[in-house]
Amino acid sequence: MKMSETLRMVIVLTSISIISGASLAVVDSVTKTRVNLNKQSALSKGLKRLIPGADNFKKEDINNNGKIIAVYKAVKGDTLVGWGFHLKGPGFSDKIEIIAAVNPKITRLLGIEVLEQKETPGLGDNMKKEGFRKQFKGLFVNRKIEFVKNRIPEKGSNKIQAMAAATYSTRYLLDIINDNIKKIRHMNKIRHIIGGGK
Amino acid sequence: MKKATPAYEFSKGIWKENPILVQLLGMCPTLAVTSTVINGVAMALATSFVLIMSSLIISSLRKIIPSSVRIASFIVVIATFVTLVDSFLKAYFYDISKALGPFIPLIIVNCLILGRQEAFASKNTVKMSILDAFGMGVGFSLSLLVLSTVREILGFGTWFGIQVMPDLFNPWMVMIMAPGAFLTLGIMIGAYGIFKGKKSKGV
Repeated sequence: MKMSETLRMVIVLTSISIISGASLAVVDSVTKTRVNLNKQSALSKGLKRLIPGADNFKKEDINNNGKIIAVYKAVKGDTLVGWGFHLKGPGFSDKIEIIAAVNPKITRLLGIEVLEQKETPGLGDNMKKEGFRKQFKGLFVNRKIEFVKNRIPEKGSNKIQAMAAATYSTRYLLDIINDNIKKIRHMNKIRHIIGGGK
Repeated sequence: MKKATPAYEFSKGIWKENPILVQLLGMCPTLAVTSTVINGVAMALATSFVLIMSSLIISSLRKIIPSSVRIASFIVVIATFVTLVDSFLKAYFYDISKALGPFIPLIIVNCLILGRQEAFASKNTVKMSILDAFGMGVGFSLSLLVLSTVREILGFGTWFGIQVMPDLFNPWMVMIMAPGAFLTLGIMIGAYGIFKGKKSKGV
């Protein structure tokens, strides 16, 4: 008697899960292309907003120990006017995806756009907001960007003011920017173009 | 208890047992996304869809699901529909999906939906459960519509993004922030209580 009850539990829950998984797989395969298309268009819109002077963005994949970083060379005619990096990394909850735009020498940020995040509503998700993002404009990326809490950072200190009550989200976001750009700057392929200087 | 006619099961969710004003269920999305009407409506529709579909599935499976794993089963069913809605919005309404952000996945833990499965769909016929879910969905949606209307008009001076207040109107910042949501909801529940109290005295 006890056995059959246990068995029933296992069978019912397993069947529900299998049906659920199967239907999700079907829906995913149907919506996947459109979702990717939407993401692609959000990405190109973001790049244009960050580097309005460019008339073309050339995609280049950079292999960083098996991890691919999508790099966009922003050009106007033949001149390099900037770079757009599509960066991903872990956030406080789920992954954060951003675009970081930098000048041709990869020394200063032109700005960032947040493509995807699931941070705490009302706290960490403030990273989407213009007021927070505009702090990044002009910061140096050839040294570490840091943050201060509850006050406006000193001018020229290469710091931003962390989002209120979302220190971890801020830290994760900065890690994504600092770590990835540091790696990109040291890639041979990139160093060749930017001249390798410090 | 009142006799359970189909009309009663449908209408109770709209007024007498309104999920927001009376049961106070599903407060998190209610307070968080209602700063604009379009977000409020999108959230209301998504939640209602998940509620109705889950009630349909759970009430048809109510005799098969052993009671010891019922909550787990409800959650799997609810989560499936929420993920469906999430994919659908991402594919066809990308801007809304971005605006609602994590609140769509959070429908999974909306206590209104789980509450209706436990309190109603798992004990009643398919027909009654769907009527119940529809009524609760309508009640939930109407409350969100009123709440987001008040907040958007006072907080932005617009309704569905269209300017409705004169240019001189200075938007109340507080309305688009969390305290505005609490204040408006409190006033709504109070007004409901006054209205209901008057009515029952009259009888």
